[in-house]
Amino acid sequence: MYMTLAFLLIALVIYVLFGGADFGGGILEATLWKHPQLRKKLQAKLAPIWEANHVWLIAIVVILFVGFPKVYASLSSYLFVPISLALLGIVLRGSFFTFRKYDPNPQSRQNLYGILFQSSSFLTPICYGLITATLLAPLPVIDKSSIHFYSLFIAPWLSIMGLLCALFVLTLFGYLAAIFFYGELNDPAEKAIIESRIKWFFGFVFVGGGLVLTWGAKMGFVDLGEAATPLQIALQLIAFSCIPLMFILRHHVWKLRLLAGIQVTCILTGWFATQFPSFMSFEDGTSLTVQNSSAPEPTLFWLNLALVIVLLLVLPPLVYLYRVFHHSDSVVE
Amino acid sequence: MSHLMLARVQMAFSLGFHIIFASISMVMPFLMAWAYWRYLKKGDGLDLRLTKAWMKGSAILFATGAVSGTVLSFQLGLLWPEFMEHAGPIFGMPFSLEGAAFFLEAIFLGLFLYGWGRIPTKLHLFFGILVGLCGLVSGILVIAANGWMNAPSGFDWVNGQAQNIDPIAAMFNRAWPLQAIHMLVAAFQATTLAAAGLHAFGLLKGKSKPFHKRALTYLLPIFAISSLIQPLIGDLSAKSVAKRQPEKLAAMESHFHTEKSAALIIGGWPDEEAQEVKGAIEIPGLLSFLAFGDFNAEVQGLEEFPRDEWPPVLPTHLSFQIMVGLGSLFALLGVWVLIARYKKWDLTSLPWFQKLLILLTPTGFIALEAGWIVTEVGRQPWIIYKIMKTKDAVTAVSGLEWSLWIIVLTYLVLGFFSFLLIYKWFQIESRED
Repeated sequence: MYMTLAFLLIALVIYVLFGGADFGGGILEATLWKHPQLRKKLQAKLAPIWEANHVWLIAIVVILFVGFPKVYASLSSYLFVPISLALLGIVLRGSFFTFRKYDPNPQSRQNLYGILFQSSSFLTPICYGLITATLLAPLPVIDKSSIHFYSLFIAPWLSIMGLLCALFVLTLFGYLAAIFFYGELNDPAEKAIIESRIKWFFGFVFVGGGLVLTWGAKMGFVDLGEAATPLQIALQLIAFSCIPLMFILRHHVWKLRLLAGIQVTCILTGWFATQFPSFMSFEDGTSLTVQNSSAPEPTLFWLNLALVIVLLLVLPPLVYLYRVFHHSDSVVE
Repeated sequence: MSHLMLARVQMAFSLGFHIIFASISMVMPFLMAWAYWRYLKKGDGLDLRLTKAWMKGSAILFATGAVSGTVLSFQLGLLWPEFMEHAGPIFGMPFSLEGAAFFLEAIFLGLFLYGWGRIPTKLHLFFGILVGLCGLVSGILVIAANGWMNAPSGFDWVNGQAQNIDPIAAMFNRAWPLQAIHMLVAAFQATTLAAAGLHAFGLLKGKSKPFHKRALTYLLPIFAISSLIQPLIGDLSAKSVAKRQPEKLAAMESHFHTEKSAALIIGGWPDEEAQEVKGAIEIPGLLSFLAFGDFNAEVQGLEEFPRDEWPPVLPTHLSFQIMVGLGSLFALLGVWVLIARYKKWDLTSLPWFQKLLILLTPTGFIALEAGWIVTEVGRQPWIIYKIMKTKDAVTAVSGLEWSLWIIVLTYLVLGFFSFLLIYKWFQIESRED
């Protein structure tokens, strides 16, 4: 069961890195309204496996409903509204990105495509922030005989903590996209524009993260004091120590990306460590934990095996696709 | 509409939408790869144009299929949390593998789209074929999960809890093989027929006649062969349903009373209260023969089953009639196309044949959707056959009319744009020569 949990964390990290950068692309695009040339380049860079990054999200969903079915069922009920809105964002974003790319005459509908693509790129990360915050606090218990819609299905996620987390996720995704895009540019003037975006996004991530932690501590969701485990402290230290390194290594494309990846991994692992062993807790004192909500052993065995096979099957062609695409600038279609 | 009905309509609409795009993504890549192979072999520029046209179609429709599939993986839980809580650990195996197949499909499509001039041609062609193969595997695996809902296996149900779970036995359930083949062949029929309709329109109105003619010479034989195979598989499927889910077969046929030498009912309007069918054509003994291979076999009627376990008879019956009616029409058309090919008649140049194809454009998908209505509505009131009722699986979240409206509106917009872009490209292709 811990192996399944590890796969869940891996899928989450990959989804945040790649899917996050996809959403970040839309967020970054919205900040580049004065630079149409850069926007075009950004769109081209996002193209190769558009929306396929959502398989990592599907992987998270499948691991949850196969491995931790009670958690999946509870999440689906309490978070019905933000999950539905996140899906709406995914659908609009993915399809309007493709429509824009494949419209034989995109100019005529450029504004419509742009607005829908960008606003949906904001909508989904905001929902992810709200969802994350909801899991930190105890949830009301559902009593099927008297369902009160607002207090059960709205109030848990509509909170200040939720808005702070939304800001954090939004800017984190924008930051990831900017870091990725920075490495794809050669022109110094263009690089300078994106570098300023990286700084802005990072500022927001930093401030947003600080607010999340302090507000979380004030409300009792996050423990910054004595109860913080050595693991959490170590993760925070690693995440912070990446910052000065990034300034030094900013001309090394892959090292810069790797550092951003390490930061995100630390943040997500830290979040997992904060939650562990519970996925969600309830106001009556009970909680759904890794131990009490996992599927029976045979299911977990086959799930883990399937996930290993899947990774082995998928990784070689995926790496090949990135390589083919990466050498694409010089060749004209 | 009741809470349960809202959830069911939303699920039906999402699935019905996704199925169209998923079917096209299974079949179009093969067509594209076929045309590309012809081009590599003969060097005819017309084949290359066709490859690129079908590739664009695949790319546009793939994205819509992908996002609507992502939505479905969530909707199972959003609408049916009780179901997923119990079923997830049992039938999750094909879903995890399906994710991989889908991802590979996306990767190979990416390689095909961006591989022009960058990958050796043979490898490029191979990737094109792989797009289609991965799409097929993905479809087959999803149907394993649906088959399990019709023929649950791989667990013991003790006091409302699943025990002794065996995910592999659940995956290889008895409904899977025939359901999967039936669906795949239907996808080939529906996609080739719709594409043929579009190209026939181009032939009738457009300027680029050789291009559309070439398309039809590839599409029609595939349509014809799959349409001749389908009735055989349909027959086997009906026999399998007769054994596994006798009340579903009874609802499909509006067969209310148990009898030997039961008549096949064609058409008509069933009346559940009066337990009779008005205005149907009856062929004595044929239902017994089709279901059990014996004109005198006894076929159980709906009266054998508790009233609250009957599937809704009217929609199941009508959808079944539509599916079988269209399927028979396609088989006839298929025979004719093959004869014409053998005798070297030039059917595609005849304006009335072109008009017939245009008229038939959506019918493949109508038959396909009707088939899914038979499977899904015919399984009601169960979500897991004889284990869990649909009404016990539905979410506690109220106000589902909102999410229903949003999803209907969003999907209508998506569908509109997908087909608008296909049409725009089609116009461009038809203009040049």
